[in-house]
Amino acid sequence: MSSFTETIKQLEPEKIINKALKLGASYADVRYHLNINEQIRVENKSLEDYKSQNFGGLGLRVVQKGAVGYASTSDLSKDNIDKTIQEAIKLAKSFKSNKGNFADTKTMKLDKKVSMKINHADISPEEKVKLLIETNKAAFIKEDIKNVITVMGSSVDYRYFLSSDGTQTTVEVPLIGIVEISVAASNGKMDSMFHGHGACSGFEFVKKRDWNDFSVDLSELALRSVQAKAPPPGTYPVVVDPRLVGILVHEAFGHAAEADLVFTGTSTLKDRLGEQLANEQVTVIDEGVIDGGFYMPIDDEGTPKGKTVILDKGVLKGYMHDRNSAQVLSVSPTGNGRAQDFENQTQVRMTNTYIDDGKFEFDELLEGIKEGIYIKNKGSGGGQVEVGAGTFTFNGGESIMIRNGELAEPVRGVVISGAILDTLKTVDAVGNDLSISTSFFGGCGKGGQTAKCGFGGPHIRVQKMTVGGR
Amino acid sequence: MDFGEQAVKKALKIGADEAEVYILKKNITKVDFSSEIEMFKNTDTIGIGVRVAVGKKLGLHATSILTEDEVLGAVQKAVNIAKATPEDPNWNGFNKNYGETPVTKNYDKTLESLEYEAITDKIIGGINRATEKDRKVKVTRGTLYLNRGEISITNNYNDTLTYKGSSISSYMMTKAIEGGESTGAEGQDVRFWKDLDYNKIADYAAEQALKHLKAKPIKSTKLPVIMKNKFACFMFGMMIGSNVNAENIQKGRSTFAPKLNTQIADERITITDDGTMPGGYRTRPFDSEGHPTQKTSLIEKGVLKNFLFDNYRAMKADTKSTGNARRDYFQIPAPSLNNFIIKPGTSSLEDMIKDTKKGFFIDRTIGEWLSRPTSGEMNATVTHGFLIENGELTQPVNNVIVAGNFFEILKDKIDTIGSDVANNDHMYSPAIKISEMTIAGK
Repeated sequence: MSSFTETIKQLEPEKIINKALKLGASYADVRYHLNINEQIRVENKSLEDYKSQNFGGLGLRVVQKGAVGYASTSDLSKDNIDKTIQEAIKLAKSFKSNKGNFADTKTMKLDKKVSMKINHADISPEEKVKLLIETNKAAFIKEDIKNVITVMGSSVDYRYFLSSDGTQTTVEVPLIGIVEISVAASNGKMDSMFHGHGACSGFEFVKKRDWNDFSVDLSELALRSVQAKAPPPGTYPVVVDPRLVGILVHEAFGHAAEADLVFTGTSTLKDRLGEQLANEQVTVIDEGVIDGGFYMPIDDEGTPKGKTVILDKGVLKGYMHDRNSAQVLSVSPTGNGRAQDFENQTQVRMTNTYIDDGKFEFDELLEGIKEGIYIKNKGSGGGQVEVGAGTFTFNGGESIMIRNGELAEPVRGVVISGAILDTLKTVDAVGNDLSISTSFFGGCGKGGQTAKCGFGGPHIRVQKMTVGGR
Repeated sequence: MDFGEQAVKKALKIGADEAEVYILKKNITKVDFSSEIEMFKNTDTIGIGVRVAVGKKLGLHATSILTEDEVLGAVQKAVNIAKATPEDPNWNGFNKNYGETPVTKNYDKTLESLEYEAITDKIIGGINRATEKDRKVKVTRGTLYLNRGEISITNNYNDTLTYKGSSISSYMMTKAIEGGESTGAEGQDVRFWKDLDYNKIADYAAEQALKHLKAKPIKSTKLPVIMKNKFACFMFGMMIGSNVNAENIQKGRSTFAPKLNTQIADERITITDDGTMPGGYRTRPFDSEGHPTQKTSLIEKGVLKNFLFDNYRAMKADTKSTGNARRDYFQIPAPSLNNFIIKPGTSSLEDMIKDTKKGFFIDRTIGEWLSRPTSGEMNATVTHGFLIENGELTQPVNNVIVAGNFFEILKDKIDTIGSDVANNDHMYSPAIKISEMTIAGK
């Protein structure tokens, strides 16, 4: 933190803003960003890669006659910063636009952080490598386990923001996590399983978990999966676990509720405010600070991020906004203007997007399902969405057949697909076990930028989901 | 002051036995647009990666912060990491054979003085073009990247090597806005500003959306399949690229490992990896470890000829690097394709379609990257395809899954290799007709 605050002092951000205004900008904001990170990868019991990085620099946004110019640099010498200011102005002058019209916000000074009990940097490289090698070794529970990769990532992210409106904020967020891939082979078949845990926390997050158990558990899953059969392709009632619910809601629904995609006509949610889009048990929320999620109290435009209700009992209530999109629709910005880092401009992005708690116990979700599938995220390997059409396809992880209201035999990871609005309408029961998680490794991609997010929900039941084999 | 050589010196002084410094100066100009310019930015970042070896123990620290203190601090951190980690018994030192292969057309100097207005003019021209000829389409999203980079690399065995490169990558998505909804998209990856053709991009993206207004899935079936050149680039590049990669060979993840000098493909298949191809998207005089680039035969008339190595993997296999090391400044190098080039045949795409009585044409897909190079399980969800009937594209098709085993296809199911070579990033291929694939639809 000390080098971060010192650098800001030396930068004299007020002067940068003033220079931009003098050169003709009607608005300017400056961001200084520093991300200190480290990644350690162990593969098959030996260290494969240990890398660390300090990634920092400055970005300047200016508005000139409604057009936004953005320039960034990692070279913080005075001459170069002057050049950066001039580039931003030149960019804004080079085209016509009204994206630089911003909704009003209260000006404020805010400093927010997640405190670390144990700073990642205070744990020696030896100790971290030892822990990872032990975790990796623990996964080799049987000869059939052929390949295990274990990775730990940790970072502390510092962001400073100052605007010509007078808002000044700093946010400090630590993030840490471990992921593992376990590959099992048996009878000429091979399957790999992926899982991990992460949190906005200091190293205490790693210390309080038993990572050997985690490894054993993942390898057992890989061994089960390689033996398991795929269910016949078709349409099933399914129960989906919180992590997969989170990913589904984020990818297939959340992006469509980002106001910028609504404006360009990319989103299927254009012109549908007030419509009943899902079963009334379904409430979808985007919230900046929530247990287990990514910590995002203020966005990269200096707007506090509170709780934004997108679907309220199935009815589309609003979109997620940055200051420009809020101005266009005459609403308040929701604090969703986010940038990956100083090299990038803000876009409308989600924070922690989840389905809110319902009333059903897990067992009640299974009740009445004659033949269905309990689909879990654990072990899963990703998916893709066409936001334009609202279609999604995801790989589920370990899954279990549901027969006559009870969990039966495990089945191999399944591919699920569908159209999100159809799927939300056929959600007929929402559980009461909301759980949200975040990850050092995962993230959300949009416009060439990655943002850290939180994902989650309770278990939900969907009447009809298309399930393909693999 | 040369940060690189200074940092190497410092590393040796504080206990490293070897040191290597990789410096990337990059400038990116990026435009995001829809039916108007949305965002316009320019970014300058310098990244420095310091790798050191203490005996056979390795460390890497990188920084983008360009002060003397920070760079020297980076050296110290790299050495601290190296000292604290276990030995890598396979470590055999940094590259001792620096060198350059003369290459051409990999840097567009005109980008240095290109006016921002010239960029926005060209994009606006593309947006307007998409809606010309009374086309009822809207540009929904698009991106243009202009990248310039200078890479310098030095280690304790060699003097500094430097080269400049440029690349331009563009993408445009459209939506047809009359009589239903459908999307279209097209992109172009080039080295030179003058080669970027927004008329071509806009025409293709607009026509694709319009042609798919009445697209629907077909019933599940097996058909001959023509892969459009850019799709063939990706599929062949990903599947073969992964299996000839020395890292995958050495870690037991390649089915090609025991097959050198055997027939793995149809006799008409000849593929090279060429880091020296004039104007190639990944052409460069030396790789990320300072090893000169070269042309390497991968498959010659169906016979597997070579694997692709970086310095570390080459030493481990007791052979020479093929100049295929690739990294960003904050990563360690790993083998990767340079320019992946499939030798074209003689049939035009028109003739390939004309010669197909009943078949399927793949234009655009999603999820193709979920295919598995180790097992050869290949699948892609087709968002834009056509049925071919009696030598003509007829019914537009969407939302079907095309699947097959890539290794079987490569060996026994190549029907025709086209002549219309195009590139998708660093992969170059003509259209390729496969005699049969599975299509999962309604």
